[in-house]
Amino acid sequence: MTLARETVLELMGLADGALEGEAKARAERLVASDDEARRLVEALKASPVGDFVRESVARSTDAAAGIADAVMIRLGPGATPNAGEEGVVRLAPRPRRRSAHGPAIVASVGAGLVLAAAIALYLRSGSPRADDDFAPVASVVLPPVGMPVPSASQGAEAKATAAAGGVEVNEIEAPSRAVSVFEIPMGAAAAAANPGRSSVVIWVEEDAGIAK
Amino acid sequence: MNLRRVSTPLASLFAGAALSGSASAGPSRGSATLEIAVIYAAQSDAGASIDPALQDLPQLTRDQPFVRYNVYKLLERTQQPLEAGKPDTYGIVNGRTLQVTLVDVTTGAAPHLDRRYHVRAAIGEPGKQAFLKLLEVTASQGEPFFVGGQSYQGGTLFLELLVR
Repeated sequence: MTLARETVLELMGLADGALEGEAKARAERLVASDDEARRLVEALKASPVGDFVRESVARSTDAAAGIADAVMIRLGPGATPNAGEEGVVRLAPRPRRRSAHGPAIVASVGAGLVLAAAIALYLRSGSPRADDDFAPVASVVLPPVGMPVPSASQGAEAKATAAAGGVEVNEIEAPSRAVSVFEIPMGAAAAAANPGRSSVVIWVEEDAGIAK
Repeated sequence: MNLRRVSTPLASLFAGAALSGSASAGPSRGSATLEIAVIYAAQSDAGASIDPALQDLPQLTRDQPFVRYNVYKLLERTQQPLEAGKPDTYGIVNGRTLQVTLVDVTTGAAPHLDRRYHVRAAIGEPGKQAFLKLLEVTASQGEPFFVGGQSYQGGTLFLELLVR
């Protein structure tokens, strides 16, 4: 896959219906000729929360950069400074806020998770991974300001609750620390008992306020 | 920061609607056994080594965040009873305390009939800001999850938590 960050953003614009003129024609030509580009657009369009994703991206260039980073990670080591951080939903550290901002923080986290899920869906729809290609999931760095999308966030919560099996992280609270959630395969014993499921690593940065 | 409801795999956020038939039966209070494994991890130029007692770890070391380290040693493995609503505390080697509370136990509806344990955990240290103020996880019986990131002797600690 050779999509550049700018191309990914342009494809997101195409999925969003925001492109016009030459940019739209260029993006459509790329989709017609490039399978990866087509899958990305299809994933963004077909996602059950596609509207939410597009809305979120439109409101935050940081979030767009996060998606681009996730795609760039898929390109291979060295494609991005975050290469090798596969399988992580990273939450940027923020000062603890009082109750007036609580819903916005939760919404922001929810938005990040849905963005990550959208990318995961896209990535998992691709070709079978090679043996040395381990975790085709996403890395999302949330923007510093919460995105006002509480309704979509609540929808994601409801769906997560309905999912069965595996390990479900309901809530994490680590004031002033960066928290990442890594999806990992089950260990051999657990996998034998529960095939197809995965587990998580909740990674909390030791140094408050410092994200690796 | 706060994080609510991350489900793995992440794509299950989307699959949830299709799985609505697997909604769990009503919660019930109960008891369980908490298994805690304290794993020390470090990066060493002297070469990789994995404690033979960590039988499931080798395959995980290909994945983040385990891939960051090449030396793994099991420091302690213990089992503690959990009673719903009663916090259980465990002293970690770095001086912090892990507190785990069983919130409730549910049994899934068909086809997922396994027991699922809703637990609440925290890691703190007297007089200091909590390392992990709150972690709420719902895990199926025997399915482990990890809490990592605590610095310890030039490396880090992974706490493997498993409820059965």
